[in-house]
Amino acid sequence: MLAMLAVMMAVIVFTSVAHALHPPGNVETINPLTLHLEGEFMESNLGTALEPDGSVTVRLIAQQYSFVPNCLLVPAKTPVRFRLTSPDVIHGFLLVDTNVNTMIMPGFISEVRTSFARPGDYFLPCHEFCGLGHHGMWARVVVVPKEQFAKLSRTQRVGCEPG
Amino acid sequence: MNRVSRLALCHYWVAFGLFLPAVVLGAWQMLMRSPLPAPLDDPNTYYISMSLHGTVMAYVLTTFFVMGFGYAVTATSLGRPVRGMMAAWVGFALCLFGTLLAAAAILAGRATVLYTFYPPLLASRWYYGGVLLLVGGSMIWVVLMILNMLAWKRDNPGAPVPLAMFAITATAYLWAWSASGVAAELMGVILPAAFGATAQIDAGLARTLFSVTLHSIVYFWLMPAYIAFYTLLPAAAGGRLYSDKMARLTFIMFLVFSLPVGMHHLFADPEHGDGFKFLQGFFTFFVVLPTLMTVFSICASLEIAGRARGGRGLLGWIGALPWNEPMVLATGLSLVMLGLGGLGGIINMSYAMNSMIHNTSWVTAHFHLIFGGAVVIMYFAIAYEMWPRMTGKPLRSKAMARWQLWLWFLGMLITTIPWHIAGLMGQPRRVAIFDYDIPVVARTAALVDVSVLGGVVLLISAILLILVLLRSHLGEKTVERPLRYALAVVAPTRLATSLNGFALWNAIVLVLMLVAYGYPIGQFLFVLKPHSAPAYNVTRDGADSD
Amino acid sequence: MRVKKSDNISDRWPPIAWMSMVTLVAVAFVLGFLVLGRYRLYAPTVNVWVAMCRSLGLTPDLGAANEPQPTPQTPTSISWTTGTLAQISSGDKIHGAFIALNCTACHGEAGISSSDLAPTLAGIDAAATFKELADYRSGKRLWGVMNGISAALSAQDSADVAAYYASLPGGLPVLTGRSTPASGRTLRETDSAARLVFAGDPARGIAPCASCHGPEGYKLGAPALTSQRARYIERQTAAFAQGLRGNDINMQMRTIAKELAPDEMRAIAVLYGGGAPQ
Repeated sequence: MLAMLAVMMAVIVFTSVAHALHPPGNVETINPLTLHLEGEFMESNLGTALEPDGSVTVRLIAQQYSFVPNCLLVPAKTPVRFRLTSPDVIHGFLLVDTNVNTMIMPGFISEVRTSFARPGDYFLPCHEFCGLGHHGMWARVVVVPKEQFAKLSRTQRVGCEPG
Repeated sequence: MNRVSRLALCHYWVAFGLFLPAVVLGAWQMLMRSPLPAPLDDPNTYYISMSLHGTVMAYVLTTFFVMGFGYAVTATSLGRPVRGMMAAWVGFALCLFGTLLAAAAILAGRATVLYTFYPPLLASRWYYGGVLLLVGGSMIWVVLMILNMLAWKRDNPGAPVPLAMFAITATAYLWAWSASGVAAELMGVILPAAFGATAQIDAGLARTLFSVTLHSIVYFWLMPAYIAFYTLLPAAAGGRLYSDKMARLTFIMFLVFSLPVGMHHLFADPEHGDGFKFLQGFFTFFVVLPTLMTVFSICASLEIAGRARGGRGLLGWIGALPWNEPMVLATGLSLVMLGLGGLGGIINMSYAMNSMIHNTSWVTAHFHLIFGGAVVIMYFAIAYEMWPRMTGKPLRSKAMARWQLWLWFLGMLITTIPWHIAGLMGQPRRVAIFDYDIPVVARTAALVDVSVLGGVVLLISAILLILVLLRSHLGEKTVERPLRYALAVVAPTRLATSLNGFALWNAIVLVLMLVAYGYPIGQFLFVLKPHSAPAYNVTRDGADSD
Repeated sequence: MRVKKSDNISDRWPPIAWMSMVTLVAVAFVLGFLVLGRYRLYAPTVNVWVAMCRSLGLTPDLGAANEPQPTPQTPTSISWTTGTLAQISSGDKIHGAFIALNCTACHGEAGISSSDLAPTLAGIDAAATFKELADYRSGKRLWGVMNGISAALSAQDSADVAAYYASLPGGLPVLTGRSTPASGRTLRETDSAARLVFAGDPARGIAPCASCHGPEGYKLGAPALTSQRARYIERQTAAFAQGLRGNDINMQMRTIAKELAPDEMRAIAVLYGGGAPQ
């Protein structure tokens, strides 16, 4: 019996090392009441940003009862860093058909890193009960081929809509 | 036994009496979230129903059942009346009053926070007060179990405590440790906000404190089922318990390893680094061990029984077992569900693998299968075993009881297997209305429909359960057959102190809890910068808060 | 069975238990903090000390918060801090009634408007009124006449007049968030307005309007809409959708309004405004 458990643990350790497979581990606090007034999550800074090293950072707010922006644009085959927070209650973040899955807590910033192998539309429901409108909280991530993703300046942010 | 019988029966009637309406709610919920039409189709009603269903199934059915079982076990295994009957009745009254208070708050629409009540969502103070009374009343039971065992040991120095009593006392200690999490959350974080003493809630601290309870509580629920496996089943099957020592070690391991592991419910949370997530995930592997040991020793005990009844060959003893006994049948069905549900649980706790299924329907399906299935079916079997002893009236009828158990087993598999698959397809949890036109939702439609069917089967089974118990209760009194606990193959005559008491194991739990939870909880108080969020009352009366 | 105390067998369990516990803790600690902590997706492998700090959560990814940003845009100057909420609940109705004598021309004698251009204010939540007056004052919401009027009101005056209007009966209902079971509030509902109000539209990420604006839902700062002037509701929704109005905290209304078609906005407005004189 111990051998069985040891084999499972070995698999976990191996994949954590070889593929850097971990659950989210970034512990960062923020004031939930002033997200719209100052700091990283002001509405002008939400959406997809291009980093100097070619990766993208997507910033998003989850609130009762929508994700803002509710449609996100990212390039395929690129490291993507999602940064998420909430101004009110606990929400969830799930990209269906991927391993991107985390909680969004008021007072904390959640960070998950991934990369999309293929272009396509990924649906994004909230999966933690957040109040009477919980079932309406769906958004989308649109993954486009890397070549089609515009070269943004450091202070440009994009969503799905043009302009 | 008569006074204890009445006490235990009162607990059981509350447990099963609230169980049936909760199953009705559950069946309705399955229908509501499916593509099929449902009556009273209103998302607000769904969330109220979920809060009630969850609170009753997770807190009320379980606590009352375990308490009643504990009193019955104390009296029958020690062979003498339970000490502290007055306190026991006070505890029962507190628990019942708390239950009614909480249920009333939910039905009034003032506590739609589901049974995990994650703040900053804040319900009415009456709901939390009710839950606190329920938990507090059960602490009287905890103290009584411990005191009764200690009194017996004092009166029988050096003698091995009967296994059933040892195990139920382990359960009591486990519950005391486990409940400390939710009690600290309620008294330290939630109730101050609910009473308006503070407007801010530390959501991370609340969730972490709750995680102390969230996993260990399932072992509180599960231990009576395992006690039945070890002490009632071998006798019902006509055999003996394979190993008394192994049984004691199993219960000790549950006490030790079910507590410092709650963070595997927080794998996806941003308020903890992955160091402690791994540490608690690692510990979680060791709570699998007692279950593996149980499966082994229970199969061994059944083999002893089967061969004693004339079974031959490698597997021939299985057929020779008395499957027409509800206790034996329930065990077989429970072990199947335990295997499936347990494998699912291993995936949930496997660190990064959790990201595949966190907060999807896989999780809901998992705990319905493992708790609603494997554990609750043993609650039924215990009820069928205990009712005739407590009332003096035989079970009417064993055939209906067998039907009930089979329907529960089949209904649970039909409900949860498609549900697991829907979870893997990314179906989110706790959703009242799905739009089945969304492509990723449309592909789960057929699976959800099958689960609805399973829910109906479960409802029929629940009705049968109540029918069997009612008919037995209203039947004719006959000669009483005392409860017979299983004898071990090698009956213990002397035991090491550590296998006869809990001082060592409580000390180990204390150290493990400090190691596993010391920093994770301490960081909220000493390390992290201010990060509290305002409380969000789910209802508001007038301009002033509730 | 009675056994003499001196017959106790030796108890090997304490050393076994403590040794096992120490071993498990040590292995878990080394693996979790010192080995696994060194590897992260799309980050360089770090040494053991950095790994430990990171695994404890002591070294978050702070660089992201400090990256260059576009020109900041804020929707409002109000945030729902304890101080703000305290100021709102300290509003004096009597003084508010006095101030409101100047509001009746557009908003009606009893706070019930008879004009499409001005909303009914009777019964409206005090926090909503307070915030809109602050936004008019700061220019975050533009409507000529209101910008001028709020410039003449202090924050305390706003709290007072908000308290007064919140206390007026006969207009908008008080939202309590309590619900009673009903039927026909799902996506099966054939009337599209009722469907959007009570069930929302998950495909477009639209939560039910009722979950914030009532009936049977509430959210801080979201005004009740039942019995509000239908054309006013419609115009404001369209304003959010077209970017003409942007004082909603964290874009919550703009995000939803842009998903609604104009005829849906009208139908929702009519459903809500049903009881009020049009």
